[in-house]
Amino acid sequence: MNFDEWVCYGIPEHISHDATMWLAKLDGDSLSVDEKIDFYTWLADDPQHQWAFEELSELWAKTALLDNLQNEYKPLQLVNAIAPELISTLEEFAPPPYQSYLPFLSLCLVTIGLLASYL
Amino acid sequence: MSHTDEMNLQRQLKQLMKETKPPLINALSRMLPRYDIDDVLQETYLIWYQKQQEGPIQHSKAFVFRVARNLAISRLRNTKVQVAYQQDCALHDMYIDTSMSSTLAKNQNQQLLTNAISSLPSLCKQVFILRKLHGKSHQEISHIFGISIKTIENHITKGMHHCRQHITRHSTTKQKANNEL
Repeated sequence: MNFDEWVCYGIPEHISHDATMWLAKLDGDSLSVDEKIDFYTWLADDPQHQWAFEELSELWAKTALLDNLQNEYKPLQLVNAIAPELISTLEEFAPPPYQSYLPFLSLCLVTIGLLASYL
Repeated sequence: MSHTDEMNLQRQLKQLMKETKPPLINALSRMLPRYDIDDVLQETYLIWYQKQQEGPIQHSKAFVFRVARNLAISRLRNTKVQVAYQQDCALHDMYIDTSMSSTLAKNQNQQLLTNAISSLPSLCKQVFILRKLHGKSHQEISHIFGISIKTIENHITKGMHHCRQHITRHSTTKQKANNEL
């Protein structure tokens, strides 16, 4: 592994940022035709665009070879690790507790109303 | 090669230089002094010419850009790093043979990248690991975490940016190169 060639040496920050953005988009494999045209236009626009993209692609590819990380994060641990975050997001969307009493409450009110009209 | 072939090749080279020379000079000037740039460009177009004689190059522009970058980087490495590196290695090489030291460097680099990923913020790291080490698609990750595809792309962008910075900060060779520039 020789990192010197993959860290966008001498390339401005905003260009390597754009390159990473394109990389993430392409990795998702859901680019529209327009986006693909945009990408190729961007790539040919400036040698630095091409350099940044190629070098970051290399870095991105190499991360898959990190077997020591693989051991560190077994799928089971992964579930444990994400659970707290999942729970907190679920809580955000959960209805407030009083909502579950509402149907019961409305039924009571209707009954009282009916009784009142008879009396 | 016939005369017309050669004329044709000359014309192609002229056109290619017209398209690629100004942006290349601009980009290379961030890495090299002016006299080095001229050398790199000459060598680049010479390599293109030789390759093109063997058979047509598919993407000439991309080819020329890549060759120029490689030449520039190797030039940088030779002139700026060599001295410091040699001094550094002189002592090592007396005890460690080259195959062992390259394994050592490989492990160090792997460790560097591993550390970079380990130090990512939690969710960003999980997205990264699911994608790269467990080979999950963006769609699958989106289901697992209940986040949008766009958010996943952002996490990956953020993660890569962080890794690159981490490596640049901790890579010793780079530091030396930067100091001497």
